[in-house]
Amino acid sequence: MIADSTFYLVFLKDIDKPLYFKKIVDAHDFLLAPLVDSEIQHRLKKHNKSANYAYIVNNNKITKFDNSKVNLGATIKYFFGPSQIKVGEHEVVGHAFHLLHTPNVDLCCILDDKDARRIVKKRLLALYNILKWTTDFIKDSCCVSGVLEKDECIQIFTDMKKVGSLKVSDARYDRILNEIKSGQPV
Amino acid sequence: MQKSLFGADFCGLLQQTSDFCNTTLTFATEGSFATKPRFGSVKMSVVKSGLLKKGWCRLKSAFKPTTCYIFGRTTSFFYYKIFGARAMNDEQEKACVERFLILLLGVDNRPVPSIVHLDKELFVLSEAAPRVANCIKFSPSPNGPHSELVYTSVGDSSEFNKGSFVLDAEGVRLTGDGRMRFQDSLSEWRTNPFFSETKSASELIRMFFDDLTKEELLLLMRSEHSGYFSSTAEDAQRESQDRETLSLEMFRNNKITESKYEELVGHPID
Repeated sequence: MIADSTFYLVFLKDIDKPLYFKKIVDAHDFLLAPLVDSEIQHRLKKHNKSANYAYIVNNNKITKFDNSKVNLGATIKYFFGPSQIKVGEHEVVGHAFHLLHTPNVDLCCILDDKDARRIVKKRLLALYNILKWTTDFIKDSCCVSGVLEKDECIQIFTDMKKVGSLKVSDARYDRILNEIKSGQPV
Repeated sequence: MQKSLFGADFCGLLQQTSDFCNTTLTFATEGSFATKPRFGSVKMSVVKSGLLKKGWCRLKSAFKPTTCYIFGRTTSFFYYKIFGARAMNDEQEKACVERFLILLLGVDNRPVPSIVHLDKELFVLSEAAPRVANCIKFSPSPNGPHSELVYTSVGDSSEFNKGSFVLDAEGVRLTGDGRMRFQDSLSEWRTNPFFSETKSASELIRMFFDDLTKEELLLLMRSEHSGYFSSTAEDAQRESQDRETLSLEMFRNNKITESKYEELVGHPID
C-alpha cells in the first residue's frame, strides 16, 4: 500500500480514531513517502494531535522509503504544482509507478488529489487503474477485505461526515453509509 | 586487509561480505586519473544492520596512493559507499554518460524527439539519482542545463561506426548495437535495486517529457532551474509572452496539473 497524506490524516487528525487506523494498517504493508511523512507530522502538530504520530512510527507495518539513491518523485515534479509537491503527491505517484512494475508486489495506491489523478490517468493509465480514493479504501476494508467490522466502518464514516472530512458532500457520505448498511452498492 | 579502488569504482556501491574492522582502503592512483586530479576528499559511510557510520577520507595527493580508515566493528556483511568523488577521466565519464543514455533510450522503443530533449532528460535523471550526477556535469546555457558529453556521445556515434545512437529527423534512438547493450545491462543488473529504480525513473521521464514540445520543455525547465538559463533579456521577454499560451496548452492536454499551471502563470485558470 502506498497512500498520500489524506488517508493518514483522516484517522489521526480529522476523526481522531487511531485504533481504527492501526487495525487497517496492521492488515497491510504500507510504504510512506518522506514528504508525505513530513506533511502528516506538520498537520498533526498544527492541530495538537502530535501524540497520534506514534501510531505511525511505532507500527512496523509502515516503512518509510528511502529516496537517497533514486528519488522517483523528482523525475515528475516538473508537472506538479508547489502545493502538491509540498505534500509529496509526486513522490507517491513516482514510487507507486515503480512498485507497479516490481514483481510479486500486489499494489494499491490511495491518491485523493483530483488534479494529480487527472495527470496519472492521462500519463500512467496502468497506475490509474489501481488508484483508490480514501473513502473507497475504507469502505472496502469493511465490505471486501473484512478488516473492519460493519459498525466500525459506519462509525468512521459518520464521524467523517460530522467533521466534514475530505470535502465530500453529505449526500455522498449518506450514499456510502447506505451501501455499508445494506451490504451492497446503492 | 587492504582494498584498492580504481577509477569508476569510486562512484559505486561496492558490496562486500568480508569484515571491514581495521580495514585500510587504499585509494590508488592510476594513469590518466593521476594527471587529472579532480577531488580532494572522498566521503564514505559504512552501513551495518541499519546503523550508518559516516566519515571523510582526505586524499593526501592525487599522485600518490593514500590510505584511510573506515570505522566499524567486527562481524560480517558490511558494505561501504563512496560519495561525491570525481575520479573518472574523460573516457570513463563518456562511458558512464553513454551507459545512462542507453538506459534512457532503451526503456522505450520510440526515439527521444530531439537531442535537446535527451540532454534535459539526462539532467532530470541525474537530479533523481546522485549516482548518475557523479559522472556528468551540467552547465548553464541559453537552453538551460546542458552537457556537451550528451552531444559528443550522440554525435560521434552512428550505425556505421558501431556506435550506440542515431540522430535523425525522428529524433535520437538506439542502433542495433545500442539496443544489444541495453539488453545486456537488463540481464546483468536485473536484480540490482539501484538499477531497477533507475530504470523506472527513466521510464517515467520518457513518459512525461517525450510528449513536450521543445518550448514546453524549456518552460518547465526554467520554472525549476532558472539559474541554468543564460538567455538574453530579449529571449526572456519572448519566453514570458509565450508562457501563458504554452501553460494553457499543457494544462488542456493533461501534461501539467492545474496547480502547476497556476504556478507558471501566477493566477488561477479562467
